[in-house]
Amino acid sequence: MTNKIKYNKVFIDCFSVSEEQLNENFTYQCVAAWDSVGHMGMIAALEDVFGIMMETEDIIEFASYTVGIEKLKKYGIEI
Amino acid sequence: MKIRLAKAADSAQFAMLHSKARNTTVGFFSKVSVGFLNQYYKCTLSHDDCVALCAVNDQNKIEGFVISTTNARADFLNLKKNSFILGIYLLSSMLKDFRLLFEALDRFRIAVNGNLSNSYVKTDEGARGIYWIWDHSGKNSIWSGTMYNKHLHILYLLGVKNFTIEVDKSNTKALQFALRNGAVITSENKLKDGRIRIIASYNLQFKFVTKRDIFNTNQERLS
Repeated sequence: MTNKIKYNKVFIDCFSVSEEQLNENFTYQCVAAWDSVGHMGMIAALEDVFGIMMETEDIIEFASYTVGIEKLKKYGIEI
Repeated sequence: MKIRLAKAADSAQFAMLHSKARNTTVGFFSKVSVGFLNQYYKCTLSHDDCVALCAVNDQNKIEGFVISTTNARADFLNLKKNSFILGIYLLSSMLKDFRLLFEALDRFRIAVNGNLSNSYVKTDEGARGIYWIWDHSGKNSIWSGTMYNKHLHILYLLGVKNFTIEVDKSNTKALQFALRNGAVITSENKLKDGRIRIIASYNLQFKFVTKRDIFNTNQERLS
Protein backbone atom coordinates (compact mmCIF):
# COMPACT_ATOMS: atom_id res chain seq x y z
CA MET A 1 0.00 0.00 0.00
CA THR A 2 1.51 3.38 -1.01
CA ASN A 3 1.82 6.29 1.41
CA LYS A 4 -0.81 8.19 -0.60
CA ILE A 5 -3.31 5.36 -0.19
CA LYS A 6 -2.53 5.12 3.54
CA TYR A 7 -2.83 8.89 3.95
CA ASN A 8 -6.14 9.06 2.09
CA LYS A 9 -7.49 6.07 3.98
CA VAL A 10 -6.95 7.85 7.29
CA PHE A 11 -9.01 10.82 6.08
CA ILE A 12 -11.69 8.59 4.60
CA ASP A 13 -11.96 6.50 7.77
CA CYS A 14 -11.81 9.41 10.20
CA PHE A 15 -14.13 11.81 8.41
CA SER A 16 -16.35 9.46 6.38
CA VAL A 17 -15.61 11.23 3.10
CA SER A 18 -14.90 9.96 -0.40
CA GLU A 19 -11.49 10.07 -2.05
CA GLU A 20 -12.80 12.64 -4.57
CA GLN A 21 -13.28 15.16 -1.75
CA LEU A 22 -9.63 15.02 -0.76
CA ASN A 23 -7.98 18.04 -2.39
CA GLU A 24 -6.65 21.51 -1.51
CA ASN A 25 -10.15 22.59 -0.48
CA PHE A 26 -10.41 19.89 2.15
CA THR A 27 -9.61 21.92 5.27
CA TYR A 28 -10.21 21.90 9.02
CA GLN A 29 -13.96 22.16 9.77
CA CYS A 30 -14.95 21.83 6.09
CA VAL A 31 -16.95 18.78 7.16
CA ALA A 32 -18.64 18.31 10.52
CA ALA A 33 -16.45 15.35 11.38
CA TRP A 34 -13.23 17.38 11.09
CA ASP A 35 -13.67 19.29 14.31
CA SER A 36 -11.25 19.49 17.23
CA VAL A 37 -12.03 15.97 18.39
CA GLY A 38 -11.92 14.55 14.87
CA HIS A 39 -8.64 16.35 14.31
CA MET A 40 -6.86 14.60 17.16
CA GLY A 41 -8.35 11.28 16.13
CA MET A 42 -6.96 11.83 12.63
CA ILE A 43 -3.53 12.81 14.01
CA ALA A 44 -3.46 9.71 16.22
CA ALA A 45 -4.41 7.54 13.24
CA LEU A 46 -1.66 9.09 11.07
CA GLU A 47 0.89 8.55 13.85
CA ASP A 48 -0.10 4.90 14.04
CA VAL A 49 -0.17 4.31 10.30
CA PHE A 50 3.21 5.97 9.64
CA GLY A 51 4.88 5.14 12.97
CA ILE A 52 5.66 8.77 13.76
CA MET A 53 5.08 11.15 16.66
CA MET A 54 4.13 14.63 15.58
CA GLU A 55 5.20 17.76 17.38
CA THR A 56 2.66 20.13 18.90
CA GLU A 57 3.11 22.94 16.40
CA ASP A 58 2.71 20.53 13.47
CA ILE A 59 -0.51 19.17 14.96
CA ILE A 60 -1.91 22.68 15.30
CA GLU A 61 -0.78 23.79 11.83
CA PHE A 62 -2.08 20.60 10.17
CA ALA A 63 -5.16 22.48 9.00
CA SER A 64 -5.77 20.98 5.58
CA TYR A 65 -5.29 17.84 3.51
CA THR A 66 -2.59 19.61 1.47
CA VAL A 67 -0.76 21.15 4.44
CA GLY A 68 -0.71 17.68 6.00
CA ILE A 69 1.26 16.32 3.05
CA GLU A 70 3.88 19.04 3.64
CA LYS A 71 3.97 18.41 7.38
CA LEU A 72 4.56 14.68 6.92
CA LYS A 73 7.66 15.39 4.81
CA LYS A 74 9.30 16.63 8.01
CA TYR A 75 8.94 13.11 9.39
CA GLY A 76 10.36 11.49 6.29
CA ILE A 77 6.98 10.57 4.85
CA GLU A 78 6.57 11.35 1.15
CA ILE A 79 2.98 11.23 -0.03
CA MET B 1 -3.24 31.27 21.56
CA LYS B 2 -1.36 29.94 24.51
CA ILE B 3 -1.88 27.06 26.89
CA ARG B 4 -1.27 27.66 30.57
CA LEU B 5 -1.96 26.16 33.98
CA ALA B 6 -5.36 27.16 35.31
CA LYS B 7 -5.94 28.72 38.71
CA ALA B 8 -8.90 29.26 41.01
CA ALA B 9 -9.36 32.78 39.64
CA ASP B 10 -10.30 31.17 36.29
CA SER B 11 -13.39 29.56 37.81
CA ALA B 12 -15.81 32.22 36.52
CA GLN B 13 -14.63 31.77 32.93
CA PHE B 14 -14.71 27.98 33.32
CA ALA B 15 -18.29 28.23 34.56
CA MET B 16 -19.31 30.39 31.59
CA LEU B 17 -17.68 28.01 29.11
CA HIS B 18 -19.28 25.01 30.79
CA SER B 19 -22.63 26.77 30.69
CA LYS B 20 -22.26 27.45 26.96
CA ALA B 21 -21.45 23.79 26.33
CA ARG B 22 -24.33 22.43 28.37
CA ASN B 23 -26.61 21.89 25.37
CA THR B 24 -24.18 19.21 24.22
CA THR B 25 -24.30 17.31 27.50
CA VAL B 26 -26.87 15.70 29.76
CA GLY B 27 -26.95 14.98 33.46
CA PHE B 28 -26.59 16.93 36.67
CA PHE B 29 -24.03 19.49 35.55
CA SER B 30 -26.03 20.43 32.48
CA LYS B 31 -28.89 21.62 34.70
CA VAL B 32 -27.17 23.65 37.39
CA SER B 33 -26.72 27.43 37.44
CA VAL B 34 -23.60 29.32 36.37
CA GLY B 35 -23.22 30.43 39.99
CA PHE B 36 -23.07 26.81 41.13
CA LEU B 37 -20.57 25.94 38.39
CA ASN B 38 -18.41 28.89 39.40
CA GLN B 39 -18.37 27.71 43.01
CA TYR B 40 -17.77 24.11 41.95
CA TYR B 41 -14.76 25.06 39.82
CA LYS B 42 -13.45 27.36 42.55
CA CYS B 43 -13.51 24.43 45.01
CA THR B 44 -12.01 22.00 42.53
CA LEU B 45 -9.28 24.29 41.19
CA SER B 46 -8.24 25.16 44.74
CA HIS B 47 -7.65 21.54 45.62
CA ASP B 48 -4.07 20.24 45.85
CA ASP B 49 -4.69 17.21 43.63
CA CYS B 50 -6.28 19.15 40.80
CA VAL B 51 -4.45 19.41 37.47
CA ALA B 52 -5.98 21.91 35.09
CA LEU B 53 -4.92 23.60 31.88
CA CYS B 54 -6.64 26.25 29.86
CA ALA B 55 -6.15 27.75 26.41
CA VAL B 56 -6.19 31.52 26.27
CA ASN B 57 -6.62 33.57 23.11
CA ASP B 58 -4.94 36.86 22.17
CA GLN B 59 -7.66 38.80 23.99
CA ASN B 60 -6.80 36.88 27.18
CA LYS B 61 -10.11 35.03 27.01
CA ILE B 62 -10.22 31.35 27.90
CA GLU B 63 -11.50 29.30 24.94
CA GLY B 64 -11.13 25.85 26.48
CA PHE B 65 -9.99 23.97 29.52
CA VAL B 66 -9.30 20.50 30.83
CA ILE B 67 -9.45 19.58 34.49
CA SER B 68 -8.52 16.36 36.26
CA THR B 69 -7.59 15.06 39.64
CA THR B 70 -4.66 12.85 40.57
CA ASN B 71 -6.73 11.50 43.44
CA ALA B 72 -10.41 10.91 42.73
CA ARG B 73 -11.17 9.98 46.33
CA ALA B 74 -9.65 13.21 47.62
CA ASP B 75 -11.69 15.10 45.02
CA PHE B 76 -14.90 13.58 46.39
CA LEU B 77 -13.85 14.46 49.93
CA ASN B 78 -13.08 18.00 48.84
CA LEU B 79 -16.59 18.35 47.43
CA LYS B 80 -17.96 16.91 50.67
CA LYS B 81 -15.99 19.49 52.63
CA ASN B 82 -17.51 22.22 50.47
CA SER B 83 -21.00 20.70 50.38
CA PHE B 84 -22.59 23.47 52.43
CA ILE B 85 -21.50 26.30 50.16
CA LEU B 86 -22.21 24.20 47.05
CA GLY B 87 -25.66 23.39 48.46
CA ILE B 88 -26.44 27.07 48.85
CA TYR B 89 -25.46 27.75 45.25
CA LEU B 90 -27.53 24.76 44.16
CA LEU B 91 -30.73 26.17 45.67
CA SER B 92 -31.56 28.40 42.71
CA SER B 93 -31.12 25.49 40.30
CA MET B 94 -33.32 23.25 42.48
CA LEU B 95 -36.15 25.76 42.28
CA LYS B 96 -36.26 25.03 38.55
CA ASP B 97 -35.77 21.28 38.88
CA PHE B 98 -36.27 19.75 42.34
CA ARG B 99 -34.91 16.37 41.14
CA LEU B 100 -31.47 17.93 41.25
CA LEU B 101 -31.66 17.56 45.01
CA PHE B 102 -31.63 13.76 44.70
CA GLU B 103 -28.77 13.81 42.21
CA ALA B 104 -26.81 16.13 44.48
CA LEU B 105 -27.44 13.85 47.46
CA ASP B 106 -26.23 10.91 45.38
CA ARG B 107 -22.98 12.65 44.72
CA PHE B 108 -22.48 13.63 48.32
CA ARG B 109 -23.28 10.09 49.44
CA ILE B 110 -20.34 8.81 47.41
CA ALA B 111 -18.12 11.27 49.20
CA VAL B 112 -19.37 9.98 52.54
CA ASN B 113 -19.34 6.21 52.09
CA GLY B 114 -17.53 5.58 48.81
CA ASN B 115 -20.35 3.35 47.52
CA LEU B 116 -20.29 3.72 43.74
CA SER B 117 -22.65 0.88 42.89
CA ASN B 118 -25.64 3.14 42.36
CA SER B 119 -23.95 6.43 41.56
CA TYR B 120 -23.36 8.58 38.51
CA VAL B 121 -19.60 8.51 38.96
CA LYS B 122 -17.80 5.18 38.84
CA THR B 123 -14.20 6.05 39.61
CA ASP B 124 -13.22 6.90 43.17
CA GLU B 125 -9.54 6.16 43.21
CA GLY B 126 -6.44 7.17 41.30
CA ALA B 127 -6.29 9.85 38.65
CA ARG B 128 -9.54 10.70 36.92
CA GLY B 129 -10.65 13.15 34.26
CA ILE B 130 -13.23 15.68 35.41
CA TYR B 131 -14.04 17.93 32.45
CA TRP B 132 -12.67 18.83 29.04
CA ILE B 133 -14.55 21.70 27.48
CA TRP B 134 -13.96 23.92 24.45
CA ASP B 135 -15.88 26.91 23.15
CA HIS B 136 -16.50 25.93 19.54
CA SER B 137 -17.82 29.35 18.64
CA GLY B 138 -14.19 30.49 18.49
CA LYS B 139 -11.86 29.69 15.59
CA ASN B 140 -9.09 28.06 17.57
CA SER B 141 -10.64 24.72 18.37
CA ILE B 142 -7.79 22.93 16.59
CA TRP B 143 -5.86 23.56 19.83
CA SER B 144 -8.30 21.55 21.91
CA GLY B 145 -6.79 18.08 21.52
CA THR B 146 -3.26 19.40 21.89
CA MET B 147 -4.23 21.02 25.19
CA TYR B 148 -5.73 17.71 26.28
CA ASN B 149 -2.59 15.74 25.47
CA LYS B 150 -0.37 18.31 27.18
CA HIS B 151 -2.47 17.79 30.28
CA LEU B 152 -1.99 14.02 29.99
CA HIS B 153 1.73 14.59 29.71
CA ILE B 154 1.76 16.75 32.86
CA LEU B 155 -0.13 14.01 34.71
CA TYR B 156 2.52 11.55 33.59
CA LEU B 157 5.33 13.84 34.75
CA LEU B 158 3.57 14.08 38.12
CA GLY B 159 3.85 10.32 38.46
CA VAL B 160 0.44 9.22 37.20
CA LYS B 161 0.74 5.90 35.37
CA ASN B 162 -2.94 5.19 34.70
CA PHE B 163 -5.54 7.83 34.03
CA THR B 164 -9.24 7.00 34.00
CA ILE B 165 -11.96 8.78 32.06
CA GLU B 166 -15.71 8.35 32.09
CA VAL B 167 -17.61 9.04 28.87
CA ASP B 168 -21.25 8.56 28.00
CA LYS B 169 -21.54 5.98 25.24
CA SER B 170 -23.80 8.39 23.36
CA ASN B 171 -20.92 10.89 23.22
CA THR B 172 -19.46 9.05 20.26
CA LYS B 173 -16.97 11.75 19.27
CA ALA B 174 -15.34 12.00 22.67
CA LEU B 175 -15.27 8.23 22.94
CA GLN B 176 -13.77 7.82 19.48
CA PHE B 177 -11.14 10.41 20.27
CA ALA B 178 -10.21 8.68 23.54
CA LEU B 179 -9.83 5.32 21.87
CA ARG B 180 -7.77 6.71 18.98
CA ASN B 181 -5.71 8.66 21.52
CA GLY B 182 -4.73 5.47 23.30
CA ALA B 183 -7.37 4.90 25.97
CA VAL B 184 -8.61 1.35 26.51
CA ILE B 185 -12.16 0.55 27.60
CA THR B 186 -12.16 -1.16 30.99
CA SER B 187 -15.89 -1.37 31.75
CA GLU B 188 -19.38 -0.29 30.80
CA ASN B 189 -22.03 0.72 33.33
CA LYS B 190 -25.69 1.59 33.12
CA LEU B 191 -26.52 4.70 35.15
CA LYS B 192 -29.78 5.20 37.00
CA ASP B 193 -31.05 7.60 34.34
CA GLY B 194 -30.46 5.00 31.61
CA ARG B 195 -27.24 6.42 30.20
CA ILE B 196 -24.47 3.95 29.41
CA ARG B 197 -21.22 5.12 30.92
CA ILE B 198 -17.97 3.87 29.41
CA ILE B 199 -14.95 3.72 31.70
CA ALA B 200 -11.66 3.87 29.85
CA SER B 201 -8.08 4.12 30.95
CA TYR B 202 -4.90 5.63 29.52
CA ASN B 203 -1.61 3.88 30.21
CA LEU B 204 0.49 7.05 30.35
CA GLN B 205 3.74 5.11 30.66
CA PHE B 206 3.01 3.54 27.28
CA LYS B 207 1.76 6.75 25.71
CA PHE B 208 4.70 8.94 26.71
CA VAL B 209 7.61 6.57 27.16
CA THR B 210 7.20 3.14 25.59
CA LYS B 211 5.60 4.41 22.38
CA ARG B 212 8.32 7.06 21.98
CA ASP B 213 11.03 4.47 22.68
CA ILE B 214 9.61 2.22 19.96
CA PHE B 215 9.48 5.19 17.60
CA ASN B 216 13.08 6.23 18.36
CA THR B 217 14.34 2.65 17.98
CA ASN B 218 12.64 2.36 14.60
CA GLN B 219 14.09 5.70 13.51
CA GLU B 220 17.60 4.55 14.49
CA ARG B 221 17.20 1.32 12.58
CA LEU B 222 15.97 3.15 9.48
CA SER B 223 18.75 5.74 9.50
